[in-house]
Amino acid sequence: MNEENNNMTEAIRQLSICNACRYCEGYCAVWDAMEFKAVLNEGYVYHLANLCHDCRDCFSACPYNEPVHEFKLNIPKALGQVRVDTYTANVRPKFLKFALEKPVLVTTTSSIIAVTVAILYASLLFGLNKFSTLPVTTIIPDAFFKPVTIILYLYTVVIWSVEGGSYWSKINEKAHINVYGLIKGIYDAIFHTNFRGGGTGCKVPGKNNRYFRLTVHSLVMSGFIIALVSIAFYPDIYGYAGTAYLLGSIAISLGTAGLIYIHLIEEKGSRSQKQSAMDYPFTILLFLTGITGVIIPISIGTSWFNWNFLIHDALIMVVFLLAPFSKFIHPIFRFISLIKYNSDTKNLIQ
Amino acid sequence: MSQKVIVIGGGNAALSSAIESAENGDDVTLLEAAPSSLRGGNSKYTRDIRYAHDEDEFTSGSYTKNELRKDLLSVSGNFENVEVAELVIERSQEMARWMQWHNITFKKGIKGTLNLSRTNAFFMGGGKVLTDNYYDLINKLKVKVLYGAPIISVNIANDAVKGLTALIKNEKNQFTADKYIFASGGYEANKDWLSQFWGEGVKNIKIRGSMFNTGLPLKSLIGNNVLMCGVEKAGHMVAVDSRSPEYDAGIVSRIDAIPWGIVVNKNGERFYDEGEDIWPKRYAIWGRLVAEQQSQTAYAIVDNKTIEKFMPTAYPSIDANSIDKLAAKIGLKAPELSNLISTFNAGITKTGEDVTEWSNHQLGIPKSHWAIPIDTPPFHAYPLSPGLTFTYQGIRINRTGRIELKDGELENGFAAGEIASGNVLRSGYLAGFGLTIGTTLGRLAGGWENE
Repeated sequence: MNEENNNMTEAIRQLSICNACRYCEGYCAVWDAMEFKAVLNEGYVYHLANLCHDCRDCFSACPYNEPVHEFKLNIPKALGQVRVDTYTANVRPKFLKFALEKPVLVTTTSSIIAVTVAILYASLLFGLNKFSTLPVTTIIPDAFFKPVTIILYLYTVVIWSVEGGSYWSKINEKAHINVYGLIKGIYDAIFHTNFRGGGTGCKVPGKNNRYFRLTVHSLVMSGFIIALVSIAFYPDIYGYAGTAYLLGSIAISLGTAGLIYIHLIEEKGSRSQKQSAMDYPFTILLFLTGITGVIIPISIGTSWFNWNFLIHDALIMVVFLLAPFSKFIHPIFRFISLIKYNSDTKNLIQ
Repeated sequence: MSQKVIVIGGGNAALSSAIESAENGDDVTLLEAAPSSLRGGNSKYTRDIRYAHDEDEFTSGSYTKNELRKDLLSVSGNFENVEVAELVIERSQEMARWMQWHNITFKKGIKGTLNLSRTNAFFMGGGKVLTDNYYDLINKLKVKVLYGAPIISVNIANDAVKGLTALIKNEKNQFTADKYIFASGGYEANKDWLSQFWGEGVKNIKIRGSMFNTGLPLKSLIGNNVLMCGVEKAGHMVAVDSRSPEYDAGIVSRIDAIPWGIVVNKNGERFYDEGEDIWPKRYAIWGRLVAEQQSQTAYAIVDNKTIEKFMPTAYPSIDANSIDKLAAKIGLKAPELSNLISTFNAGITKTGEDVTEWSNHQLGIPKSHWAIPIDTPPFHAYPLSPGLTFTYQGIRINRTGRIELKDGELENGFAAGEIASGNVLRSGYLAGFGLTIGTTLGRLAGGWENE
């Protein structure tokens, strides 16, 4: 709690200096949203923290940065710390906070357990020798796959909603969202408006890779959505649905590989290391689901097709099970803040 | 034919002249006094340019040369050097396009809060991005850059610069070239120099810009009989927060609360009409007014109804629920301050709905606009100090950009930027015009004339 207070006090100190400067106006929604408030409060800073997409444009533009300037500003880091605090404060059930605090441990352990359980299930039920020769629908029958998938989706969506509701209650300022805000929020999320640096591009991983991060994040997001939709056609994994699933998997693999590459070469000083530690176990997990997804059509007719398929499903299950207690809180909170920001814009301009 | 050029300085004017020279094929070396992490001089604290233009995508409408000239004369009275001022006005027209060609991105008025201005174009990220982009560019143009290389003396003989001495890592290094461009700024960060005018009080003056603007090249040139322009003591000085750092607070330390409340000195006395005229016009008088008070200190006091009316401040206000408690917190005598504020509140004449027209003429020192009662707690105070933005005095140049001597000109010595801004602005300031002077005169010095 103490550390959270410190993160908040520090973010307000830094953003108050920003609000007296405003040179970063136009880079992303954070700077426009900041100008809506002459005196910043806690709830509003939570909101700003979730509007921040960590592009570091403001850091590269700032003459007041640590360590050279007495003001010691480091906005992406300060907002990253507060952002992580909004996840831990709104995670439900509350005891699962530890999953956010120990992301490497939790992601690794869950993945190992899931894969082990899957292998045990296969070998105990079908026998290790016979397993690879059976049709996939025998191992994972449609009648089993569909309900499990639906329950899993529902589980994630319900917990996400509760967490999103908790977050919204802290930032809403008793104001209402409007249709413009909702539509523009969806637009901003899909088209990655805030990854563009107001036309100057993103400074991550380096100042010459202007749209690299936008590209790889779009790949992950669109790949994920495509895969999500096409898997509904299971067990049709060969026709159009299969092709779409393959494309989705390729996009996820390439995108997450790009994000991991950014993580390896980016400048670390301007990033909350807590945020970073939360991001990458999950990115690696997504990368593995992507790669095993790509292997599905490649391995058709081989003896390891079923093994790969099983491991792939086990990892996807982990993704959904962990989603509400991991980096995967970010699409929800960011989306809520984008809707609020766009609604506020509409309300204040008219 | 390639000539060897040395540029002295590391801000916008220096960089513009280095770019122009290097693009003309010259062999350029740039000597910046600051280390690389603090490079860029006062240009770091800029964000826009004011330039004459037809309708364009960077602004909301056209701004003619006549309008620009009129605006400049309204703040400055008259031009010290008409020839150079006219040249800057004329050539400002090409500026936005030139900057865009040289990697600067201007803001577009697409978002709700981003309203384009008619007279000024704003670039993304402000001055640090501007100078960083230019440094990247001169690097590509093979300009040699030496950091931590302040000039300590300039050798002038027979109407020409013969060489320079720079102090690099505590060692004197001699430099010679075919051409020298002085773009080393004013002397606002040289407190010894400033103490000639401000005495002891100089320690209480905040320097808003770079601590490396010590004016040593300027001093050296003055010692070599170049022609000066602008008044030596004059500087652009605004009221800033006393809690801000002694140097380099840039734009964020300024206090815009003044017209919304009252300003008192250490004795709890008002000393000037806070509501005189339109605020942007009166903004620049408050530095000097505060500098004239005891300990160069004053306090702006507003109440809670007006706190969101002015630009947010970098430091939080000092708050109290009563005037007595506020007085105690800022070290003023409570009865005097309470008395002053009740008298102030009691004598207000509210003409119409618009608070701009509310006034109090019953006081010894009137408040002629925005006289809003200070009666809604919590009450807020901001401690004020004078904040020096830049000095006006510089050296006189002619329309080729060469430095003028008492009889003639320096054939290979040029000046650009703040060191030559006195040719155009002898007092006052127009937002965004510093960069215009720097860029146009920088390019002129770099050989723009030859095209």
